[in-house]
Amino acid sequence: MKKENKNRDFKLKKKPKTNVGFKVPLDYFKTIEDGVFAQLNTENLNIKPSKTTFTTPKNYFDSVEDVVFAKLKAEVLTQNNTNTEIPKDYFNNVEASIFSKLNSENTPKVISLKSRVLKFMLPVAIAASFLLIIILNNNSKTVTFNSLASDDIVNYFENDNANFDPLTVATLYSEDELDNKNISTTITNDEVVDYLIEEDLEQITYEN
Amino acid sequence: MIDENLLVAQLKNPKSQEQAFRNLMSLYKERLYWHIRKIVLSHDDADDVLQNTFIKVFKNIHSFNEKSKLYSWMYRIATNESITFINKKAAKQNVDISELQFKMAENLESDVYFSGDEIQLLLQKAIVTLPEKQQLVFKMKYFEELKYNEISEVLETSVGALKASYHHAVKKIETYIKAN
Repeated sequence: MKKENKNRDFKLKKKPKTNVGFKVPLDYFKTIEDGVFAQLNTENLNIKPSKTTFTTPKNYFDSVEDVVFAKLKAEVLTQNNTNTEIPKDYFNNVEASIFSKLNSENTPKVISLKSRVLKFMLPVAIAASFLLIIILNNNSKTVTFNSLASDDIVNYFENDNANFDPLTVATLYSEDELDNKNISTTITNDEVVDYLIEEDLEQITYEN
Repeated sequence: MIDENLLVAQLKNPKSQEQAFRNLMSLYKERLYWHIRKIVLSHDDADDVLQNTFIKVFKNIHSFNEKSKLYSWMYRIATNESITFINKKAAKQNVDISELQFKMAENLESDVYFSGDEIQLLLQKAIVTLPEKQQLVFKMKYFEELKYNEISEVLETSVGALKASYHHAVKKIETYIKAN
């Protein structure tokens, strides 16, 4: 009996094993003070909000599921709507594309040769042709208006080469000039013929 | 008692997905709402974040690997969504995050969904002076009374580090309240 008690005493004096079947979290014993002090200090704070401190609108929680489902469906619809999609890397390239457009606007305009010929060259060509006809009809090498003989001009008009209608004559004068000419309708045709016979035709031509 | 594994299986099955998701929301909406609300403070912001959280859960349920508990995973999403929300709001208003959070705490004075007294307001102002991690630990421990191992799962931080964080947070808050 005595021997048994002696053995028991011996076992109790031995250091208890801590790692048989039981475990603690890593560094548990290193941080236990923090946990305890934090707990003690929070008791000192004693200002925990009550359930009525933070509130929600009435029946708020009744509609949460429906609202979330509505939002999910809206997202699906938005994803399916490809029309609103922006091309990939659009915002990365937008500046470059604007600048390239601006630069292209600075390059000179290309004007069609055909339109330029029709607008400016055609009247010049007509005038040149008219001058050429006169030159060919006259054998002199250098022709000016002053060098033309009066007879040539008279012949030109007599051969009906210049059929001036009243509108053509009117276009030779501006409106003001016509007003200042005091054109009278009282002059007869005979008077005009007489005038032309008496007056120097060459002088009249120069005045015009 | 809901069988979490069964719920996850139903959520991943297109045929049972919608009903399972309704059940999931109905089960966690209030707990998640109050978790979010304590971070973003105003009801309108909490409502936005709660919706975004559930949408993210719905979209990512297929990538939930079931290594952690479903509620821990959802808490983690809610926490991240709340932090992202505050960061975006600060960026939009072109202010520092701590400045925005102080403003949010001050706004509680005129918030119709807040009825705390002066000391409650002071507590909220004290919390926003803490670093982000300490704020989260303090809120989850003090307001939500979560266990350290639960917080550890959500924040993916060791229990030891959480205890130290909580200890520092409480000390700072105490000092702030005494000084103000």
